[in-house]
Amino acid sequence: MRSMEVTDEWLYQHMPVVDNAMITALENQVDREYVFSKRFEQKMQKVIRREAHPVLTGAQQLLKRMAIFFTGIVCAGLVLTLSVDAYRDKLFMTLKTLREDATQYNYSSEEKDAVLTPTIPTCIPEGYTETDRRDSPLFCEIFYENNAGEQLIWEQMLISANNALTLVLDNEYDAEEEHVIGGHIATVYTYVDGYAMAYYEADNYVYVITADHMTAEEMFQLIASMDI
Amino acid sequence: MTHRKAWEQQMIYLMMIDAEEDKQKFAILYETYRHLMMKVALNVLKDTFLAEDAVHEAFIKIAKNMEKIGEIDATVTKRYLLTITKNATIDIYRKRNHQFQREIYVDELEECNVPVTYAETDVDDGILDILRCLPVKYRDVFLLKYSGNMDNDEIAKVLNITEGTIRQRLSRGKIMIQEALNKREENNEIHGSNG
Repeated sequence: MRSMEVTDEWLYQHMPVVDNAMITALENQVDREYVFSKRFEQKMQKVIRREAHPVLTGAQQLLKRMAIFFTGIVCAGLVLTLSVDAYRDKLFMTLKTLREDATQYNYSSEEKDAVLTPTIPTCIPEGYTETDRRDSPLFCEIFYENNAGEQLIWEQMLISANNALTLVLDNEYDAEEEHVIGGHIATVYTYVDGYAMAYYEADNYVYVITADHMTAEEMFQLIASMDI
Repeated sequence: MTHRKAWEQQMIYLMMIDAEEDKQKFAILYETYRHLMMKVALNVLKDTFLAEDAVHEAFIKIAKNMEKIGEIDATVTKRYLLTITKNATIDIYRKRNHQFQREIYVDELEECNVPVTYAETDVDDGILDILRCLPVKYRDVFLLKYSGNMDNDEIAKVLNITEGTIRQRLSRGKIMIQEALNKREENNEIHGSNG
């Protein structure tokens, strides 16, 4: 005998009860004492600021799209541009995809036996000391901090046939500067609040450096001091 | 001032009010749910650095879909945020671990035997356990449809699978639930007659 029928009505009645119980159980496991990193808080402040000005953001995006149009780049849906950059002495190919609010980098390499050798910068701005380091066969990250609590993060990533890396970088910056360092283009993106981000490709590596408060010049010096 | 100018100014003003409301709502969502979202991301990624990235990505997605957010404390809102977080987490997990499967499932409670407390209903907890312990790929669809009140088209977009797959999962999931209910009833009858 079947007394209970599984109908949409029955599910609309009982599934919310299950959902509520599941979420409550999950909420009971939450560590509310967890302190989010400064890096996360700053990234979130940017999201919140951007959320506050959708009209302005829309205008910025329009300007960006116009600039892209004038540089002759083809737009299609969300993916606005697609270009392959090849630099001298770089052992991999970069596929750069400009999206609405970010730039996505995909890499390809035929190097199967590449091994990461850290090329740590020797010229760290005054006042910064190393606070943390994470490394693996594929990447090396070093965290520095100064007395004001401002963070500098240096990251080196190995591109090889075994590491299909995808990077997404913010493109809501306020200024962009380029310099040729060691035969490769180094780009520094700066924000009005002092935040800076550098992008650099050389040999088998991609480097991303972010700093809470740093000038473009300091970022270029940092890159130039890497032993490449 | 011409009618057109007045109209344009009014439109800008309304957009600014919306922005202010959305800004406040977004800030409250952030303060209220970031730890919950972190918990979900950390369960899978086991790395606070990556988990924070997942929460950040999830909030960016939420910021772009503020029109879908209703009452901040509603279960519907929580379910939506958890789903977005799970998706962002899976994206990072996939990239970091070279995962190329079309779908990866994340059980936010990690396992079915985590004790939960149900609100009082006209059915007993064993029946609700059947719904809760559905395989994750079915349960996620059932939660979004019957608790999140989303239609199949919206669920397909959120889970990045086809509407056909959603319909199939709903149909198969209902059969699974019905079979489990029938089995449970049979067992109860046997125990009843033995008793």
